Amino acid sequence: MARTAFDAFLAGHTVPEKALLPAVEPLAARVGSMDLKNMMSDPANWSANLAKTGRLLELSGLILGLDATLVAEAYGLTLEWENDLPTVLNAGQEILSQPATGGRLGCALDALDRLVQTQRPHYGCVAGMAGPAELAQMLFADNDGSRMAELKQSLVELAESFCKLRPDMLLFREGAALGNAAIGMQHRKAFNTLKNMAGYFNVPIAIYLEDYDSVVLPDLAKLKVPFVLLGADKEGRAPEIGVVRELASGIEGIGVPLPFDDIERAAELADGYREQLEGVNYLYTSMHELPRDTDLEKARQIKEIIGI
Amino acid sequence: MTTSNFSVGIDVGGTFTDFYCSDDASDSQTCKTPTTHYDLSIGFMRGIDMLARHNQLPVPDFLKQVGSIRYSTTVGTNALIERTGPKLGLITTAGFEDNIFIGRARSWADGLGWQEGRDQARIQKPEPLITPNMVVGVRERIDYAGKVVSPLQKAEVLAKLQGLVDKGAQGFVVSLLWSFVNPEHEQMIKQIIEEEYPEDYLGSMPVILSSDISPKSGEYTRTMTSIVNSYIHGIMADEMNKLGNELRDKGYKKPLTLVHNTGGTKKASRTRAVLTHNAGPVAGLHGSAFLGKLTGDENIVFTDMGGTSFDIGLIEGGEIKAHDFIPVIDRWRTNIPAIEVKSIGAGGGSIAWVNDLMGNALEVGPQSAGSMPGPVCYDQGGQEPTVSDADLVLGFYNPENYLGGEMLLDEEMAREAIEQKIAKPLGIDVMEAAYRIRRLVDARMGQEVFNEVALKGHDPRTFVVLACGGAGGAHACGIAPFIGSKKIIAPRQSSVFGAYGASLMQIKEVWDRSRSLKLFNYGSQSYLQDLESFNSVTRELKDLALRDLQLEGYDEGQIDFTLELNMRYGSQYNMTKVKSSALELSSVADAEALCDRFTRQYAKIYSPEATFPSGGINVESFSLTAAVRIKEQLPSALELADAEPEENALTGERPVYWDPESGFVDTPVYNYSQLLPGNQISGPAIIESIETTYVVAPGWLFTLDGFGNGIMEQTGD
Repeated sequence: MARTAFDAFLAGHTVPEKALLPAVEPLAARVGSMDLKNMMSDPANWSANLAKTGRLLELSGLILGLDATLVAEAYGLTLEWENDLPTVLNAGQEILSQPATGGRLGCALDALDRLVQTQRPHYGCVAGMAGPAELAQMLFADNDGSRMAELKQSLVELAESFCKLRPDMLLFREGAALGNAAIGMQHRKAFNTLKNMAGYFNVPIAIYLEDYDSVVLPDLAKLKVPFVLLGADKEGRAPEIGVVRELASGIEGIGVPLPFDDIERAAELADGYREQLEGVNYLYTSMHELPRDTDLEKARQIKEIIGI
Repeated sequence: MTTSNFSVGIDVGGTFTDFYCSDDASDSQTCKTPTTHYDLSIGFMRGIDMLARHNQLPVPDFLKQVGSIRYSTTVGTNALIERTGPKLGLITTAGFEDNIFIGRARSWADGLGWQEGRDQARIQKPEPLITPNMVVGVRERIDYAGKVVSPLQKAEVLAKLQGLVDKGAQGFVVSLLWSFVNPEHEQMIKQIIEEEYPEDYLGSMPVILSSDISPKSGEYTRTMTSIVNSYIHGIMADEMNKLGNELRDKGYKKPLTLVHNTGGTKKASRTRAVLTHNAGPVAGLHGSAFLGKLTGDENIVFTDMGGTSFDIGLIEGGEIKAHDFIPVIDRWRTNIPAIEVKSIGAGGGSIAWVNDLMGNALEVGPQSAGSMPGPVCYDQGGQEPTVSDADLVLGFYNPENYLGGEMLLDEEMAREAIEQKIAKPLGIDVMEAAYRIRRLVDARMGQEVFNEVALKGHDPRTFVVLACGGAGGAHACGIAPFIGSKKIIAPRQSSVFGAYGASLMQIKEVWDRSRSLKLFNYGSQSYLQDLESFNSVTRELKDLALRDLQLEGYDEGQIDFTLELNMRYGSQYNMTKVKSSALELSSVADAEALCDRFTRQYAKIYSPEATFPSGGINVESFSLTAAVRIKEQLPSALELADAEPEENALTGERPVYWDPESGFVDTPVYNYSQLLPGNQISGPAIIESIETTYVVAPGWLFTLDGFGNGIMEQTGD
């Protein structure tokens, strides 16, 4: 039953029971009693831990590979792991012309394959990967998308290898590079190609956006990406509902964030969404990826508090 | 709610999957979806969904009202190309283990284009479907008369069988010498395998006998037919079960019907996999014969320019006559009696490239961008310029009205790809490069059409060109001049013509058998006296056909039988196909009449001077076609309106680059759906319908006939 609400979201049906789709990979590593780094190099554990976390939190869907450094690393950038989280060391340095599909990225593909094969009947299976603007920012320190075109072809090929595994959705992780700038032709072109390619595989695409300026949100509709899932804005807050409504009117479905570490605030936000987003096709995401030290009891209460 | 009885035809192509749906009231809807090669059922169900929406019905309600779905699939062909079939073991007569590797004559070039086939320095034999270590020979021998010369040894079969199982065989093909005369040994081997691995064992494996699949002479083609059938059998069965279950879950309770390359259809559950290869173009050819009855044209050259290939077939005197008795499937020569349709690698998705080994010559195809990534203008990640890209840049296509606006084309990307990959290396401008791409593909197709008609002994000028396929209407005026034809028919359903043809096809199958009989004996100079030797074969074939069709729910009264014979003079090599007026010979005079018929047929093809009746006349094989009779309803033509189209039919003008001399010319653009029967449009003009674009070149006149077909006639040079 878990994926029913997610299916309704994809189909554009506004149902009372909303889907719950937070990004949970760091937490999944803890659920599986391992480091995130180790989990991400072991496809069997990666998919199994995600499924366990999904069961624990009663999620509607599972996102695999939302870590943008996965793709950056495949392009040849070096990572540093601190507190079990990766950061890119040599942004702006020379990169490979084609991403290497071995290493962690290869594991991600393998893990996604396992997840789709085993969990698809129970959960929406969402493939995550770095979006073009975020990736251009990481690889070229490009903040206005002017060098995105250089990545387009290889990124499309990479996205195709995810689509071939037939996830329910392909989710592009974007951050400040997209969420703080005006949407330009280069952004539209990149997402249009990705949308057309994924459409061939019957896989809808979506953007997961954090660290954005709420003011520019309505502009995202110009990208014609059917679904936009929002995390916290650049102030770490949930987006203004008026802006969410405006963006939602131009797309097929939207994800609105809840703080999993603050039950009262989550309840308050959920009430607001329910009242003011009537008739809008939406689901719940989290403000950020649920960290390793997430209070599991609180996280489990979210489902009851938001009345799912 | 009123209910209809819909009939749906579906044709899977290399780039698009086409759908045609008609109902009791003769209304029809069409649609196209990209062919989803990774899982054909996705594109299939998308199309069903679109048809349901066209009819304003939920999918389950629509499917409940569908009376039949006729489907031509490429699942088997894909399995062969991708080599995704099972590991098979071949059991043959000892001493003939290398038969399939040696091949037959120039078999290393089978299935290659003429250019590749001539390149003897580089040509490679195809990767075999069964590797040499999976072939075993068993000591046995049956002679040409079916007499057992050397009996089969069970112990040897068991030992060889175990060897194949140990090497990982997942199925067996049994093909022994002369088994088409006496299948006893093949059947014994099957029995031994089934005793060793009965159906209730996990290790139970399918056993295919050549005497069941192809009881005809010629051990190479007979064995290869059986191997190809076995190779794709499991994959097709899985795919059909999956599709059948999906349709059943959504409300369609009837059996799925598959189109055969022999010109008929049968339930998927009663279809041999090998008969589904290249069925789509055969369905289109069938539709052409039907359309010819409407328009009154008896000599038609059917052309279908899709995204990946260009298919050509002939209707002569209102009938489909050309059969290929040893058709090539993938790289393998088989012996199924398939209807002959020629295909070359030229379509909207054909890639244009510069051949630097040939002094920077521009080439188009045979490689295609397919449905993924598709032409550059599809904006799905494709980078190689294609014919569709050229058509778009030249202004023939409307970027906002491709597939009725379902797919937006990116003209800028197409232009850039042509500039980078063609124009710059050739040192010409983009428009000229695009023009050359279009001209070149038209020339290749036109030349191929000419060859196909002229080399079969016809005057091409007496044929009308039927322009079908998604890109057919856009290129017809460029092809017709190559055969000197001044008339083109662009049918209303041209973009989904294979699907249209499939929806019209009847339940039909061909049963054939090799049997050599001297109808006129050279030695005694007398006609066949033992009529029973002839009649017993036709009776056997008729019994097989009846048994099969009765299991499909038809009785003898509903079935039409046609007997065709492969005949030749004395010791000639080539056969001539002759239609027999009766299934059985009732007197020696009948045998004589049949010989006369053969001589007339032979004279018609090779001239009367070439006939040689006194050299003896032999029948070498029998083909019995059993077809379930259907009531053919020809629609009536609509009343013709004025020649001048109504104002709302003209949607505007756009610049189109017709040739380098005149450059861009503002060209009127019409909406096909607003044209009335009888309307005429002089070229240059563009006519846009939801799924295709008709290009009326200067010097051509387009007329919409009473059936909604576009008739283009050349009025000037």
